[in-house]
Amino acid sequence: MNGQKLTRNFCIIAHIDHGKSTLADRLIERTGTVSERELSEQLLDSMDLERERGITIKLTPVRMYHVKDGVKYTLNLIDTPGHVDFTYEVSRSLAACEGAVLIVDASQGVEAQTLANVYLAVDNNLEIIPVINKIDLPSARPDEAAKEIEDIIGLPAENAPRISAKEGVNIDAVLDSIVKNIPPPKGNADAPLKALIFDSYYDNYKGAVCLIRVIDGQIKQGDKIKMMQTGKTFDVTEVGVFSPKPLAVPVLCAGDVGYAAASIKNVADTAPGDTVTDALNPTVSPCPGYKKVQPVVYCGIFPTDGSRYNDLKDALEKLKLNDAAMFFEQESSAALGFGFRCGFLGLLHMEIIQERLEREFNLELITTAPSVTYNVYKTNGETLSVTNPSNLPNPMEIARIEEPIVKASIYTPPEYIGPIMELCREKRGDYADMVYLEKTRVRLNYEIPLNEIVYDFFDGLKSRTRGYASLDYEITGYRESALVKLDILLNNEICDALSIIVHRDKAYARGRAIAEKLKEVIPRQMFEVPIQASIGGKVIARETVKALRKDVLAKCYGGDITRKKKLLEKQKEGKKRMRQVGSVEVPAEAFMSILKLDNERK
Amino acid sequence: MITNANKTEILTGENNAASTDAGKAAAATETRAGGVYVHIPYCKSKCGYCAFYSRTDYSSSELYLTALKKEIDSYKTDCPFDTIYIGGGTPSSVRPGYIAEIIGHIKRRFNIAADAEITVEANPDTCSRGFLAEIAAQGVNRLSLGLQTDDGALLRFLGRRHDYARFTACVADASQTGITNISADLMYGLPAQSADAFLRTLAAVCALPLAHISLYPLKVEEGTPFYESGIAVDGDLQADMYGAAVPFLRERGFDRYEVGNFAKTGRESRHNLKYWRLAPYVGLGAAAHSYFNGERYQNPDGISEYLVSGGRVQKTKISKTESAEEYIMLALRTKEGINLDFLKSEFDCDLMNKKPAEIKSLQSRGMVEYDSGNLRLSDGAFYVMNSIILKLL
Repeated sequence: MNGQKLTRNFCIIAHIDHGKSTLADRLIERTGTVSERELSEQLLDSMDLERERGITIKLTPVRMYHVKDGVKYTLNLIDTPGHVDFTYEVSRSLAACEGAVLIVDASQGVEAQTLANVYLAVDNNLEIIPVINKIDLPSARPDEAAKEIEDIIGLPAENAPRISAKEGVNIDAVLDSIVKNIPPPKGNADAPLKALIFDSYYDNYKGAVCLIRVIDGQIKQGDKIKMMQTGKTFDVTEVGVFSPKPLAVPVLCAGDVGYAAASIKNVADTAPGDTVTDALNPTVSPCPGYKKVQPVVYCGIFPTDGSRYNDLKDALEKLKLNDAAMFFEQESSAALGFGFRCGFLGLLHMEIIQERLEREFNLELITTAPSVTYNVYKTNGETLSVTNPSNLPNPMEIARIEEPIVKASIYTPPEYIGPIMELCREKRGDYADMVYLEKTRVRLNYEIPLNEIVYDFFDGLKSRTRGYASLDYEITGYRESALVKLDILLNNEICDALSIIVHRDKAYARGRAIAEKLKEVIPRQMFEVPIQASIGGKVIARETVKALRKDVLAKCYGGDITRKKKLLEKQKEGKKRMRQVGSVEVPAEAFMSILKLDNERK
Repeated sequence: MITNANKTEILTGENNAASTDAGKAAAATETRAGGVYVHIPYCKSKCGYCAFYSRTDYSSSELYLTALKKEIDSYKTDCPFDTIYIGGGTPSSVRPGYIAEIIGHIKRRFNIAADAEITVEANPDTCSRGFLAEIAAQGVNRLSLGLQTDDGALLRFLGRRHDYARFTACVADASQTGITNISADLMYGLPAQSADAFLRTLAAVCALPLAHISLYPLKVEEGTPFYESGIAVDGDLQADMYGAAVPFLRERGFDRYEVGNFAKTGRESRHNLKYWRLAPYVGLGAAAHSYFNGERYQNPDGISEYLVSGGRVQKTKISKTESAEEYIMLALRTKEGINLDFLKSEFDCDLMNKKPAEIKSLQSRGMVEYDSGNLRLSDGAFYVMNSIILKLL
């Protein structure tokens, strides 16, 4: 089969908002993959959430055809998520491609996120095709953008197509460049089957479906396949491609990108990074596989209405089917009842899961402040991995605690260096270095505890740089630290769901800020409610919610009791959003509000 | 009008359908005498805080009178009534003879007890000697005057049309006419009104021959001029004023028998107690509400809507559970509180066994008291009763 020579597998790399999904749509449209009628804006972002936020969360492959010089080429585009939380997904799709289209916004130039992904692509030996987008904007400066590509990234950009994905200008040049510059896949169609699973999803009819890139050999219906990591075997029921809807084909050969279904019940059996091979004639060299992704941010998720615990469980199980990176286990809190401790790849990932639970499953949630994983070494020699502040042992039993440290790269115009350094200092950051990428762009490297990143670092960065700085981080290791558990007492009882782990030096300020914040959000009750922040039993801050004085319904004029009833109904509804913590009624939002302490800086 | 006639017939028909469950429940309720309320939706001018339905254009008032009589005629019931209450709006502001005609018509059509309490609301500016003589002749024995405050500046601020001297004159005139059961409405928590100033007002009115005082905190309701001009109230200050007023009035012989109502012994408003005890009442006129035969009716809000469709347009059947909740919510407003036997026998609600933990916790916090079959609010708990009601529902 000479199909392999005429195949090009590529992905698109771009900073958020630089037009990745728009270009993908244009390519699909231009190649006639989807009829005009079927075109809905941003085809590949199929989740509502993806469309609304303009971000891509899941990988979506699509097969297109492009004719150049009378030859018909097969182009497989593997769309990739743009956000740092999903870097692991980016690397997965990169491993399935030979090339990458790099989009640079003609008015904004090269951005931090772009850079990180370009390096990933380079590491994966991908051919990179720069494209300068948004030339239709009045603020476009394509020449400067081209120069940045050459200076910062070091790629020749002289012949980079200058396009407007939005207006559909010069799209053919991109297609031609893909065909011309990206090498066809290597691989031996006659060798035993070797296919990389780069993603999977659950289909109610087909079971767990593997998204694969065939490296060697071929795969077709009826084949007996083996997952090399687990050793499990399955019979292939269907193979196909995405156009962009799944379309069954007779066979997928070396170099092809598509899917394989084999009545696999459990998504865990289709682990991304695993190699699919022929059960009877296995390949001798499996794909290198991916580093297993570990959640780095944890939080408690509870149903606002305790009776919906099982609904929440079902919802998490469903989401987990398509999101192997998410973790959850049952948790019970004295304050919040039964719920789940959930692990995420980052704050955005956490936010997205929470939003999907609320929207797609119609759940009202109470979420607790995010936490990271601490290594706790006890005096009796035991070692614990603590993701929930409530599980931190008594200080007397702790020999030492380690916390995760990230290498944070902050990209910023130089005028914000001062405020950023101040922020990083406040966040216990250690300065590593600073590089002028160009006159108007600086990269600051810091080592910062992840604990501080999850605690409103983004908001702080945004407000101090008017949104001009961007942040990238990766966990580099663990470091011993003077960490303490900060407890919050409501009416003299510890509310476990409000406990957090903080650095000793910051505990006082944080405790005071939380107490002040809670005073704002906890409504007045029939009795005075003291709010205390304490460390190891020692109270470090106190506020008081004054007792409710007036809570009485107006007279019922002329026997009209309907207004009263309505008001009571409303108050009854409001009560449902309250959690009884000991004797105190606490609104659901209080548990998250302790993260938004805008006056902490004072 | 035809549809209205049909509706009336259906309603009348149901009144006789004693075989239905609702009929039985209603029959039980109706062993207690009912009250008749009439709404007069006309005022000389609108006050800045008022959210009740009233109009300043009196041109429809004769048609309205005809419609009222027609609504009165639509009731065919033997149920005994022992109160009539003419409220508004401003009943003292309509033409001479208007109120007399209404009361006369009610007395002809309803089974009104000989010793019925008959109340008319009046504003001091329109409460003339002639008006007092007219209503006294119809057997009116209770007068409710909208004083609000004795402070001239605050009266003007509220949009009232009288001064304090006019009010004292009304009290004297009414007493002279033979109407000695006089009530005054007072507001507190007004802008720039101090707790001391409010007590001085109370002291002044307590010196007059009044039998009853109603206290209302200023409430800025949406849609009122006060709301539009962004006037705010201080709930804590209102709580202070209320807290000071209760013992102050008690010392002067006015006992709190409902959260906002204070009376000399035996001078409680028999009519208003019906609302709080879930006794039957019939509401006539625009925006009036009724509770009759175990059902709640709501008349159209607007005068023209009422003129077109008549009364009892919206009907809601109240389930036993709902009635129980209504009773809890309303009875807690009163001094005697919830009669637990009544709640159980009328609405199948055994509150002590339904909410034992809540009641115990409220008791231990001194919010409620229980004795001789009644659960009532403690003295200091009246002003936070919503929270308490919610715990009991």
